[in-house]
Amino acid sequence: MRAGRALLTLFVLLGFAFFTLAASGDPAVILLGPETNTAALEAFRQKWGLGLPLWRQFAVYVDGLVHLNFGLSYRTSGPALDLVLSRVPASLCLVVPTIFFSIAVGVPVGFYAAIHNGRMTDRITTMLAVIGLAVPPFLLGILLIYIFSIWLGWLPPSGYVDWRSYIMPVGSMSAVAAAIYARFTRSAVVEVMANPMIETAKASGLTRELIHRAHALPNALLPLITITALEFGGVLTFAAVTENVFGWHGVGSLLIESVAARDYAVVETILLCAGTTMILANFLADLSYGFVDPRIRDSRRSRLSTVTRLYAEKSPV
Amino acid sequence: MKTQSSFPRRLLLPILAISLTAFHGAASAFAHDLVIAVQKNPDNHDPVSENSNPNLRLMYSLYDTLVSVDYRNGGRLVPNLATSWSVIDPRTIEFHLRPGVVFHNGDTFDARDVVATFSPVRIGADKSVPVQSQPFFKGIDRVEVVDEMTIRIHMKSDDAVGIYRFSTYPSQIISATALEQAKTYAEFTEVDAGSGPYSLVSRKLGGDIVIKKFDKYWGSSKAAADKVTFTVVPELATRIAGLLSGQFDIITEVGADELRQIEAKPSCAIVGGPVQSIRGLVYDSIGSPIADPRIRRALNLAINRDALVKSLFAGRTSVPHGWQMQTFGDMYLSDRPTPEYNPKKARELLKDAGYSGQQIVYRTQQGYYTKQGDTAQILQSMWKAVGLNVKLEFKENWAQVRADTPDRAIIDADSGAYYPDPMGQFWRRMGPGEFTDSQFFTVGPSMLTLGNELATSLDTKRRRAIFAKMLENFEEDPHAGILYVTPMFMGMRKDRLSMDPLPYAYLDLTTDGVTFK
Repeated sequence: MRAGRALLTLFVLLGFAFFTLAASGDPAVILLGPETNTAALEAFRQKWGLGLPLWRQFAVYVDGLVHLNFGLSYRTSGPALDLVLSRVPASLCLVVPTIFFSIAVGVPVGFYAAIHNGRMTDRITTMLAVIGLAVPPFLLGILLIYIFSIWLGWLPPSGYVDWRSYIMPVGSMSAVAAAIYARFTRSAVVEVMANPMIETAKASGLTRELIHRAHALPNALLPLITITALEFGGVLTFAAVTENVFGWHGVGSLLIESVAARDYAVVETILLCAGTTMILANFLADLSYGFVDPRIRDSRRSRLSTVTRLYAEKSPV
Repeated sequence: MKTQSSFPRRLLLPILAISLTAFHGAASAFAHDLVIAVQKNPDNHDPVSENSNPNLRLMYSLYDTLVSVDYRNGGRLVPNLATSWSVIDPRTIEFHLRPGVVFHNGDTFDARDVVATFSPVRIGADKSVPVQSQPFFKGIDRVEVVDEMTIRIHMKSDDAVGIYRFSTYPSQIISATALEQAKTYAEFTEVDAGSGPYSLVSRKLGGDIVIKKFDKYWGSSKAAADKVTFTVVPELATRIAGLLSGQFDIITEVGADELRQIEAKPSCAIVGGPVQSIRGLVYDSIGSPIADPRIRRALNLAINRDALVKSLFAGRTSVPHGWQMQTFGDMYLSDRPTPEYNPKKARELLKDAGYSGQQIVYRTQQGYYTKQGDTAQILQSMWKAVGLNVKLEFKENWAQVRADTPDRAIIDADSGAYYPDPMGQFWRRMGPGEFTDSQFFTVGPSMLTLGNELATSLDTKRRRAIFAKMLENFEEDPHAGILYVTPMFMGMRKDRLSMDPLPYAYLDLTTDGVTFK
């Protein structure tokens, strides 16, 4: 059931992307440039089957997918998947540290704001989080470049030179992600802190630290797992803008290049990878809820035991 | 004892460490290395497969042509892979090939390579291989091998610019062995088949292209750098930051707004300027709101080109004297004026044509050309001033711009002078070809007759007269408008190097073009 829904989502995503791209530009004209001749355009269309009606082109593509053939890139004439996979390491180098730093900064900040709910420190951190969310990553990126590369001359602005090259792209991406974590942590913890069990815990004479650690934080974990899954799901597309600003040749910049070149197979492969990662990440998050939250674990067990019991009752002994 | 908190620490730090070390392209710092930040690198470097500025930029380093145009000396022809040549008759040119030239793949240059260069698959005769060379080489009949080091190229008809066809794009000579060894043509487009001053080290689609000095290069102008890295940095702001902070030695595709910012830094400078190309407009004169030639003349008369050059480029480019460049030498008509700016006459023509404010659609893009969007907006207001109702439509790509719908009227175009002759610019663009194929305009019989004579006559005086007549006719019934000479600017670290760039999309990285300090 769930798998069916996931497949349907992927199919709709691919179809939508395919038809929008095709409707807004002819790959032959875009790739061969404005000065090309009609013969070259015809040869290109012939070579790639672009003369077929759109729905048939899509059918050919989907048929390939069913046989695990992700299609060829117009730009390289090579497999689209190879091209995408060659860019994955560069993107992971940005995304993994980003998730790490955004959790390391965002969760404590959100938690701190929540337990100081309504006070000045809460307002300041909330405001910072809103700013972090509101400033577009490319603007933040260019701002950082002006300060750290031009003004101070401390960091190389583009591509990979040495370890310092990670600081600005990871920093600008983390700012946004940390803001998301901070806001979700804050609202989750505020909600938990309003729960009567906290009053009970206080009344039982537990220390504040123990209440925070043993009651507030574990209960706020579920929404954080969901967000982490979403962030990881967006792994391949998350970095598009940042990669472009910092001249980083990852999947994100490949996506931008491929959309501009109407390199259908590559765009579709990236979307397929991003969609699959997101679905998998959500699935893993669902599984982990059971480990984190005893209530879910218990309810799953009881459902399971009900099923076993019913099955046992119906089967002849 | 294991604690719970050790789990994430144990897992995360290795992940971080692995991810940080997995991706590296260690930058080494030799004395004579160059790092050039570009907006885009070519998808392949086969000259005939991609006609783009990124590919032309690289081509000059990787390949040689039979003869070349010496732009630094008034555009005269000089020997290159051919030591000498003679025009045997208006249809035949004989080339004596240079001995001792070695390709990057180890192959020795001889007649076989010239035959391979102009083989059917590379001149557009194979319908299944898309190449850009067909308009340049469709006149080639056959290549005759006289002996190992002598060849004759036979044209189908008399060819006034025959020799020029072998001086520049896309006549770069390839190694026959490289073409033979490639399993498919697509595979060939990815290899380095040249004999130029630099050889290819590595390329990554959408990423860096690295070339290095070719030690066995035959020419006297050797590679200036030991290693050159073309790195893709799509954002102009980042390219500039990299130049100012010293990460890059050269940056390309610098806009007109950024010139002052770069020059304000004592260690940096701007190089480049007008190139052999005219930035202009193309008019759809078939069944469009501007089908009446008087309206198109009015469009041209309403443009104040000096104002464009001054306001957009701070006077760093110029207005050409009609559809020609000064490098045309004997064919340059120096007495021709720059295009007339006369709003009064424009208004009168519109009145005569009975134009009463019908909407004219002008499709443009934001930044395919330098200052493209700004130019379009200024033009719109200049046209408005004479009573033309032009609607600007910003599009994402060329397919959208050129879509042949009834409202298509004005589009942007750039007309490069591929040869220093009207055949390489005016008639290549405004004669039968790309624009007539895509139904922008038709070429009338009288222009066709003149064009055919321009293409075949070898009498310079006669050709000058014909060209002048053609320009006059074109002014009366214009299918295109002139704006300014296309400028190309680069930023450079002047504390490290000095440059003498060519007025062309080629980037000269030999000792003629780049000197280290």
